[in-house]
Amino acid sequence: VTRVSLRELGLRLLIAAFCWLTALYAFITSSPFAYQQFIRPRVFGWIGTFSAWHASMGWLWLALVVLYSWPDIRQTSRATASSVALVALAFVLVAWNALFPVLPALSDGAGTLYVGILGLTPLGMMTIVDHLRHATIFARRPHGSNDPASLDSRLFFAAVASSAYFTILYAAFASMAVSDAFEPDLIGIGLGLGFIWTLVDHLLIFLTAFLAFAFVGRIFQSNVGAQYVATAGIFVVAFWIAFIRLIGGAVGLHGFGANLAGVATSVTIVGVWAGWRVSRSIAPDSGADLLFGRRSVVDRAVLLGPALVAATAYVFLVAADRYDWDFVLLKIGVIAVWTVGFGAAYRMALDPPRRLGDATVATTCLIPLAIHLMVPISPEQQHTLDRYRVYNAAFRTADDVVRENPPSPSFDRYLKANTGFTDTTIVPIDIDFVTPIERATVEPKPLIFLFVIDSLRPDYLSPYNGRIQFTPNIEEFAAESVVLRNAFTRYGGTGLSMPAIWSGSALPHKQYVEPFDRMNALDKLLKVNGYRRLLTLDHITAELLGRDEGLEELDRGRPEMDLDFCKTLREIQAHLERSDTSSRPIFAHTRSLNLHMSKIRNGSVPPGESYPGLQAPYASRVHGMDTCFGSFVDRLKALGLYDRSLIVLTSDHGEMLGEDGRWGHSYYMTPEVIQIPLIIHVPSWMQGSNVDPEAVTFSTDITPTVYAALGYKPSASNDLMGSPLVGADSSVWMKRRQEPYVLAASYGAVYAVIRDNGRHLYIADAVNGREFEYERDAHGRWVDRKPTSVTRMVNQLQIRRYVDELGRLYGLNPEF
Amino acid sequence: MKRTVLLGALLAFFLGALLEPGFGRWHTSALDPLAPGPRRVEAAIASRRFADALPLAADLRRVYPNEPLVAYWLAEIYGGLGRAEDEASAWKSYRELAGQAESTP
Repeated sequence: VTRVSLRELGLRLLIAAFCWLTALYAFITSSPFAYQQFIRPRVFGWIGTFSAWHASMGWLWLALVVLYSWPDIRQTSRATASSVALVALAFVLVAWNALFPVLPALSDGAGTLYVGILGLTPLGMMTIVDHLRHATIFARRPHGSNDPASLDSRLFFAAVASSAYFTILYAAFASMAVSDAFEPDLIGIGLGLGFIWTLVDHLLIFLTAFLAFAFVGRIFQSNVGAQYVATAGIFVVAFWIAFIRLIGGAVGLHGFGANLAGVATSVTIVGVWAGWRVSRSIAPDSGADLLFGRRSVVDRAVLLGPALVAATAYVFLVAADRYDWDFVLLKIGVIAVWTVGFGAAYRMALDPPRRLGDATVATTCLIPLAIHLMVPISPEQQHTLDRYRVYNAAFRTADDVVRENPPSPSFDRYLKANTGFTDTTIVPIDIDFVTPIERATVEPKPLIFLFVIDSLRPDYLSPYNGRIQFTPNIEEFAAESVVLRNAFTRYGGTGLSMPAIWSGSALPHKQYVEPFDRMNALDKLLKVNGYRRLLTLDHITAELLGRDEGLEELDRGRPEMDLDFCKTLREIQAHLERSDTSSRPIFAHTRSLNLHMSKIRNGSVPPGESYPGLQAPYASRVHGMDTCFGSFVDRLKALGLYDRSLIVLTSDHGEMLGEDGRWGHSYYMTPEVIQIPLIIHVPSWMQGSNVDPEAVTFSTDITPTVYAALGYKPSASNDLMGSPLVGADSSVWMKRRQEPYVLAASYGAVYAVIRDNGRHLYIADAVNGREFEYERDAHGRWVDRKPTSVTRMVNQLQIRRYVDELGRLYGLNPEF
Repeated sequence: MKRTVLLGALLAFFLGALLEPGFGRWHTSALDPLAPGPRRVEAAIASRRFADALPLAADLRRVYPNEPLVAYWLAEIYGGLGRAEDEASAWKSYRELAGQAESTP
């Protein structure tokens, strides 16, 4: 056996990285929400670059595959046939990809998953080649003693040492992070509690690994090859579960295809790693030796291992803080360093001076297990631990692996079955607020402006937050408008929030039910009344309305991620200045992306600006938009159009700006994500209408409000539809304050119930098997509460009624 | 052999504790609202078929006498049937059962 040089390791990693990236691209694309929200709008430029250059890069990759296989092709060996097959397979794939570029043509759906799996097949072949090359080591007698007790001892040491090391390491990272935050629960005792439970969780995980590896080591005691296969199999299962729970849950992959993708990915990760390890091993003592390496002499290089593991862990934490999606990168990083650290501890483990006793094994294993099963955690302690997981990545990951079972497993299954429909055909229904709809009699008809600022939070606007000083123009506009102070989006996430605004109703959980015309209550109104429709066609409006030739496109040719509120306003202004709006009224709509997370998270602030206590890049952009909006309103006034205009300033959802380590909106339904600004300037003839600005309102109320502004008497034919925010009598406002309302995430089976006029919030997170409850205090602050069996009961009942009503209206009754 | 058995037994315990719902805990006979019987009650209430829902809910009441959700359904059903006295009694029962449930850890 020859030692594989770093060059050969790099060669393998380059070959594998191309396959893994190809598969990852396909897996993500197969998810409807990820395709609609990331791939299509090209949220990250490099995604498009990778797709566009994939076919060309394939030739370079083929060259690497030939280089890797060349020794076996040049000189006949045991692996020659499989090496030739690998090159042939690679050539066919690359040639096909060059003739018919695959990645740019992919779209969401189960078929795309299988494209990703196909992309991993060369790595399976490479694993076979590696093992055939070095098959002789499986036939050799062990180099040292093949004493299973020695294997037990080394694995036991690795498990206990890894538990202690990672508990201390991540506790140190957590302490550093907590010191920069205001966390009254995490002082002294709180940190100690977190430390103890982190240790218990780590012991459970690493002792499970010890038991599994030691057990197969004894079962296959006389056969190192079988030990090796069984040990590798344990890793495959562990990584497969991690894939499904971490990546699958985060991007909405589930079902048979997702599991197959998980298995294929795990097999290739373990296969590439194992292939490299096998090529370096000389007569191993055990299967574990083959995967982790043989016992090392404790020298400087070995002692450097823990430091390198710590550095790697820190790099993952920093990277996750900047680029993560729902903690996926964070958790992958933790699992990676766990694996590497366990392997390093195993290599460092020496035979103990005396035999590891059964009592020691049993006691060490049963104590953390007993604590896990029998020690109760009070609500106060649970609150402290929930705060601690924000700062301790390993505890977050370990807790997700070992924590108690979901409170309502059948309810979670039910929600998942009714969420994210992909292959289910859903026939559109008519959503009408007025039947039949005829041309409105109001003259002149109002100009209608529907401005949706993606991810805009109300607490960054002065009409909602008295501390904000940088939105004077919106404040002035608000003083002349109706400010709904208790507004929520119906969907956390653009994907379903925007269609719901157009239809004025909650919708089936599918992106998208098409053709959308019958459900598009707002567009019906505009067409009947002869509006000129000026629209920014982002990927959602293009999908839902793009076939309509009567539309006039704003921001034509501008990439979606470059949609800028100021530029769009200037374009609308130009239309107004050259149009005769008295003969044909205008409707203008845009969804601006100035505040998209991809621009905010690592954004900067112009010199001279400062926003203490706020997310500065976000605040700076809000300030910039405020200036443009002020100019636009001034121009409307100068043109004499302001008083006859209906102007809606809102957002499709809020955003997490680092609270609890969370960024973006993902499938979160936290208060920061579901609260939206909703400011409506009504035409002069409607001013003075009966409005309860403190009553709970929703984004689905916008369209019926537009109906009311044109003089209609809109009425909802079911509980899922919105109702007008102007012109309603007191009893309607009273009902709003009393009724519970169900909201949903766009991108996952997470639902929320708003009660008591928005004072109570219950969240059922079926993706992670968790639930949350918040109460808003007199100062408007949300305080988290522990859900009780009764609050769970009444809120889940409300969610079931909402989901069942959707099922009844659209003929859905999925099995779960 | 003895060590192999010990390792196997401990491994089974660990996997059970980490993977199997309810492992190591006493199972309670709590109502699952998504079981077929309760689903029929909810469907009947949603479609305002209160007369159909009543015997189904009454059956559930016999099986789950301490379940506040069943009392909640019964109150809604009696309300839908216009039986005000029974409705008031069911709401009273619901409040009592919910109070008991809230105070149970």
